[in-house]
Amino acid sequence: MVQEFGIINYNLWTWTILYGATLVWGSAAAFYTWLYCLGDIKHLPEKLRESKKRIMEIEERRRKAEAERKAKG
Amino acid sequence: MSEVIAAAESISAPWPFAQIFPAELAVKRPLPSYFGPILIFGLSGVFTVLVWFMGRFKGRTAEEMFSGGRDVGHGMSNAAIVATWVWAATLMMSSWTGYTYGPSGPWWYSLGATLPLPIFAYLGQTLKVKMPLIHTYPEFILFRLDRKNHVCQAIIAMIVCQWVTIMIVSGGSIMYMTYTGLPFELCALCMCISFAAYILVAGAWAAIFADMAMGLTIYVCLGICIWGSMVLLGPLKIWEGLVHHYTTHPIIEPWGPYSNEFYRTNQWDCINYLNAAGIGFLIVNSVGNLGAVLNNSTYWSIAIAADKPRTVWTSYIASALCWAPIPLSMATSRGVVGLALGVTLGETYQGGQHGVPFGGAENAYIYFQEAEAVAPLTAFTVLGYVGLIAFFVAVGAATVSTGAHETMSTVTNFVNDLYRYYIRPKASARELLVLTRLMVGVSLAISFFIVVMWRWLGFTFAGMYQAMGIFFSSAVIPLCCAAFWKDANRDGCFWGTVIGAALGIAYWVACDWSLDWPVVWANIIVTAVSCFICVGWSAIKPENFDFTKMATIDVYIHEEV
Repeated sequence: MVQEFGIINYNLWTWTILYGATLVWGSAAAFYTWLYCLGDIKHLPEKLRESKKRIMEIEERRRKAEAERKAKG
Repeated sequence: MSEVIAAAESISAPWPFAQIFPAELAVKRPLPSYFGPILIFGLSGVFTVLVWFMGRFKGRTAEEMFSGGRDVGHGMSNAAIVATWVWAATLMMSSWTGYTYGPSGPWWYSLGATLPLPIFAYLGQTLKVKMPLIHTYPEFILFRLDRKNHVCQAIIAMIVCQWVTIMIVSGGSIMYMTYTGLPFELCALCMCISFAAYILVAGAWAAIFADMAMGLTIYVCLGICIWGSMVLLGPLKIWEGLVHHYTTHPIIEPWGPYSNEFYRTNQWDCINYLNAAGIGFLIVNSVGNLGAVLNNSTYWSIAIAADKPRTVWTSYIASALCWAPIPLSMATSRGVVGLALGVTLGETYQGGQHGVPFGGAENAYIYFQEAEAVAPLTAFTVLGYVGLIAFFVAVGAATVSTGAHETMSTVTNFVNDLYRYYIRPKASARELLVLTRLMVGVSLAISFFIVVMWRWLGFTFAGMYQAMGIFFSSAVIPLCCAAFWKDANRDGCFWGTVIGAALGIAYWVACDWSLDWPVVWANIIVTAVSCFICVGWSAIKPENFDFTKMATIDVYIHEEV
């Protein structure tokens, strides 16, 4: 089984090119992720404020519903 | 070396998974035992404080706890997916493939593990359009198929999340035990406790937020490891090492589950593009990872928390492109470098002996105890303490973020799919919230128990990774059919999942749990049988389901009820 594909072994150049490609690709991926993430973080306080407002309204409605249920016995 | 082989061969294995640990050999640790717990609890503590100040209100309603608020944008989703898909396996197992199969190993690992992400991009977007208010993917199955499929998929989703948690804890504990000397059980316990912290505060949103921050941390740490090897060793020195290995045929794994003729000869064939065992690993990796992503509620929770269906599509496609180079470059820079340097199981190495001993590493030694731990070993021998600590922080961040999120997903599946629909359908939102927090503890206790038990039985980390597809990937084809195909038959989907898994497990057991070709065939059987039954049944008895009616189904958890 081993070396049956020996004709397509790596050589120094293909190895170097593929090794270099992995490093460049990895660095580009890190840059992209950082960039878009920081963009999102900039809008995070605004989103959290909206979310908090929505949850407070839900909690208020729940309190009212509970009060009504108690009043009805 | 001959004494080590003789000592290893004299120990009889209790069952086929058993790995022989030569405990009698001198073990030297480069880091103090308190390093692991400080790192894990430190990361977990920082994110608990951040989540508490920024978004603790997200944990006040069950709907927000499970769905994360459905307002997460592309940047945060992308980083969260990358961090979630980076776990101990990505860093340790991928490096093991580089060490075992040569330069083709990282490519096979990366290809097989990236494949599910673009598929998920389409699947996640489709489900978000068809049923925008779902909390978990089995909930979609309930309304698309029926109750038996719902229960089946919910159980499989829980198994997937629990299995991944177990692997994360096992992989992380192996590393911390090997390099700090802390007992394995104590490492596992510290991790399980740290997972609970911030998800108890704000559920899914906290998990996604921490994932994002951990993702950014992981990139920095891996950048140090990867570029460090490039600068200090360079491609020529690595290449010369590989050619030396290819021509001289040394035995560098004298014991362990991969110390046999099959792996040895493929290791000697390390500069082959199409390393035969590497292709077998590609099949195992593709099948296992399809199940580990598509049937994993953690990935669904990121899709569900996204602000719109388009975000799901762009984030999963971008994350596939951003994630693929992580195991690729990591395994090349750690595993292939280990192979090129000829690091041998059972040998002791000096810090920085293959590069520069940064941080005074020349006075510290590291013992190569398990082949799966080749990555931290070469990080230390090439980059000294800088490499070892960067690698430890990356694994710590990957472990805490993914472990916490997987635990949250297991619990969400139990509470939302089983408890809410079958055990107590009239449960209030507050009751679900209390139960969720309680079940986080139960889930982590189960994980800890299984991790310790499997370790005692000798079920190795690499074995867990290769076997995972056999246990849950039979659910992949039925899920895709249910999501995309209006004619998918509910009985075909159910029996395809059950019979596929049963036959795959039966075949593997019959082959004596072998981790050579039988594990590859078992993975193929699982997928092929489930596909044949599901598609064949649906073709004979099509359902002609109307997807448009799903958009109006109300699954929202109302607080007033």
